[in-house]
Amino acid sequence: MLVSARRRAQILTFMGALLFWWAVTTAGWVEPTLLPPVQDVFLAMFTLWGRPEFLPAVWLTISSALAGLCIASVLGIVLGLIIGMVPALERTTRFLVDFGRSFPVIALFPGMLLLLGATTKMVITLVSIACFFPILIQAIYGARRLESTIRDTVRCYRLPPFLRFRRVVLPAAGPFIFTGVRIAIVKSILISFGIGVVSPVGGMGHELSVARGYFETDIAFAYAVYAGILGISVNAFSDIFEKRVLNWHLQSSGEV
Amino acid sequence: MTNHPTAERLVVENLSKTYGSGATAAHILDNLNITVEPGEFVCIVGPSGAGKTTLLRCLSGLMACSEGGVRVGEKHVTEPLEEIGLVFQDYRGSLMPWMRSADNVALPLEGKGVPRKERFERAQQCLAAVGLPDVGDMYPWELSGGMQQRVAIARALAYDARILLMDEPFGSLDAQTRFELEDLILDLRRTMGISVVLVTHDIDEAVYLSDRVIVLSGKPATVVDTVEIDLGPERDQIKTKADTRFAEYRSRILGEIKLKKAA
Repeated sequence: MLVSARRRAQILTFMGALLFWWAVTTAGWVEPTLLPPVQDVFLAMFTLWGRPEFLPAVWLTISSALAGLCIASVLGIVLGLIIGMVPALERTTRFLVDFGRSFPVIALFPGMLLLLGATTKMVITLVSIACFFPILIQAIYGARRLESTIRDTVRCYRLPPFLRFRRVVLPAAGPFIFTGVRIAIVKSILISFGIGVVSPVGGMGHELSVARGYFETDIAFAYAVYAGILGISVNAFSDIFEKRVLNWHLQSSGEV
Repeated sequence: MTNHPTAERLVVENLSKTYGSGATAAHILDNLNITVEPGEFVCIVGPSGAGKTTLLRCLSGLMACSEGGVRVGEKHVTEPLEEIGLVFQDYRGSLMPWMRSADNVALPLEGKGVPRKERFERAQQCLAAVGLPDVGDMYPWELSGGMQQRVAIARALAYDARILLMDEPFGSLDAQTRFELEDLILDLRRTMGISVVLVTHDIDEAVYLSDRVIVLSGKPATVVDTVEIDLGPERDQIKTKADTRFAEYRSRILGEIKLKKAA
């Protein structure tokens, strides 16, 4: 009952925001080229399905984000767990990791553009770099946080290194890694979309930029809304994934 | 269960343990000499903070001794040996929550290179031996504390440990469950011919289980007494504890721990 009441309040708030949007545009308080009326954007969202460039653009944005995310996950998890398992390695790499994490990936954009051109490869590279660090840091943290009793158990039963990595360190770090992946997912969509806005690499961001150039503000906004929907769906998907893969963690830590 | 190699004698010679060095050094254990014969059940009692857990970690090879050493048969214990299985007080922390019970029990066998099918047959046998034939598919968090500790014991059995080291294994369980597990471990010792070294602060538990109780006390801790418990091979929670000799052993050990504390 409580949940449904909360849900209802959330929907009402959302409707309220739309109503406010409708009100300011209808009253003529803002220039329609800056903020198109809500109903126009709504219609444009349907119009887009009739345009031949729409679905390929969506696919390009998703696939670039996904490819970068996969590369970052594999590298980040493997390197992170290894660094986390070896204290000396963790100490020596700490500064490098901190530097990499604080470094804004967008600063690499001009260089990458020169190096790789306005290509999908360039987008994937930037997404990988942006996603790598949150996953790496969480994986390091996860491997370091291995409980002392588990550590003793593993030593006492003389598990060989690879088995220890695969059956103990990796799953134990799972919840931490997942937090990193969650942050990375948001970043991957952001970068994959954002690079499109500022350079002709194709994808939803690029189409938004083109539409804006033709003063099709409603179409541009429709792309922005779809980007938001994409973000929400990816988050929902990662929730489902977490429930399946990390059920043991949710159950044993009493978070259900 | 397959045919076992005979249990080995565990020998502790002049063992001392000091943490740190210089002015901040903490001398925990001082010149301990203990022998555990194959098949023997030995309990180590002492007040909390006496260094019982430190001693057990030295015995298991998880921690290096400062002086002296530990031998299992002819082998010097400098790192964990395959003859030794360890059961912790913190069963919640020692079972992997991402693995089903059978996987937990079978994991050490995977490290030994036992083929998959054999591993799980063995895990199933060991789970049955601790009275849990039906929980192989369940996760640790689906089991009660007593059941989780049984799974941890099954894991040590599956590993084919000949010497079981137990660190306050029943300390966080309720009285009823504790009695059940005490009888289970006595039973396993008898049927499988393993040696057990169990650390506890519970004097009743020590007297009830042991062939011999080693009383540790003082700072640094020394062996203040070794009590041979002559209560026969069969123990019973009611009869044994009502025995007048049980009360005598108990008072004697309690007196020694108190005396040492007062001194």
